[in-house]
Amino acid sequence: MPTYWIIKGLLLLALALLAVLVLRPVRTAKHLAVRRLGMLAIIVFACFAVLFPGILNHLATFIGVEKGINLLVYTLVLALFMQMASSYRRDAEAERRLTRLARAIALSNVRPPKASPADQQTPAAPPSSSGETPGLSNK
Amino acid sequence: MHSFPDTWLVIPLYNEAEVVGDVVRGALPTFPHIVCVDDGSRDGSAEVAIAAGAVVVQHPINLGQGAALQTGFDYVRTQTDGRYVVTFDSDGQHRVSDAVAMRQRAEADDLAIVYGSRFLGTKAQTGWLKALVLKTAALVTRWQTGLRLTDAHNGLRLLRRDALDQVNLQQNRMAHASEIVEQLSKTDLPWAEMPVHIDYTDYSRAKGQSLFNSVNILVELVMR
Repeated sequence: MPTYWIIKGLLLLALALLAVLVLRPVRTAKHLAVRRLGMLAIIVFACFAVLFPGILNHLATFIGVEKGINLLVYTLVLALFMQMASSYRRDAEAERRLTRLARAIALSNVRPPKASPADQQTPAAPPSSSGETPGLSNK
Repeated sequence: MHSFPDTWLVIPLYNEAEVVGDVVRGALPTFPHIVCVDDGSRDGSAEVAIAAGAVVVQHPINLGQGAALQTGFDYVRTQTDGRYVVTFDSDGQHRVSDAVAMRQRAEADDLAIVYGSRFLGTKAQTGWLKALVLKTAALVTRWQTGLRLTDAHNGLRLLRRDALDQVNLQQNRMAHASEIVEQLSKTDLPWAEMPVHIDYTDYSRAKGQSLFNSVNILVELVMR
């Protein structure tokens, strides 16, 4: 059954693309444009599939899938994984930025110790912000 | 007792109000400079630490232990002139005497990095499963960095300022322990590993972070 190799190849190619997308650093404008074009292509294809349901079956048998609905499921599963991967990357990037922000806030509001038994001087931040950071304490 | 004013204890702090006061008070006579990085605690841990005599740097939200450590490092690096940093736990499982031994050895042998290990000597009292996970983590760290550590996930470590300057942790949660070893191994600075005690108190056992944490450590080691 030589035709099965086509769908296998396509699926593997999609997975490889997925891997590249996962590993590649975000390129803002181009990345976004490609995503939008991809989305547009899917919508156009979906329109044709609605108008001429036979198309999906023809396409499916052409590339080696038994039925159009199977092809749809394959595509949806791949789309799901891609979505997961890209949102994971977005989350990771958002967390990095959040961490930098939180750290900057923390370091600009250092709270020196209350007079402790030891006669220590603390080379901490200027005591201007001492004890008056109620906005930052999590209560 | 001898005291080390050139050394800062960095203590990540998250909901440990019950014990952190004792930990700070216990270490203060020996290490007069302590910074607690409060990682968004909701139980007043920060106030307890301040009252006990520690400097407190406070994350506005919870980020994780790795993020807290890096914030502590940044504090010591940018706002103090401390020469050494010792990372210390807030729940009382580390001993001040071990930190002193590390600090003295670093000075005597001109070491930039000293790792604590609960598997050197016969000081560990971990369960076999946890020991297995920790040793696996150490093995993975060895493959990744070439460092022959016996315990890569020990929270007690000492860094000299030149080593501190080259650490920039990105892993906010538990995988920071491997990450810090990885970054330090690239500095080619002189290092050693020393045996330390881990006191598994009823309190730390009750927090029950041992096994679930081990799973997280393993997952984060692989998924990076």
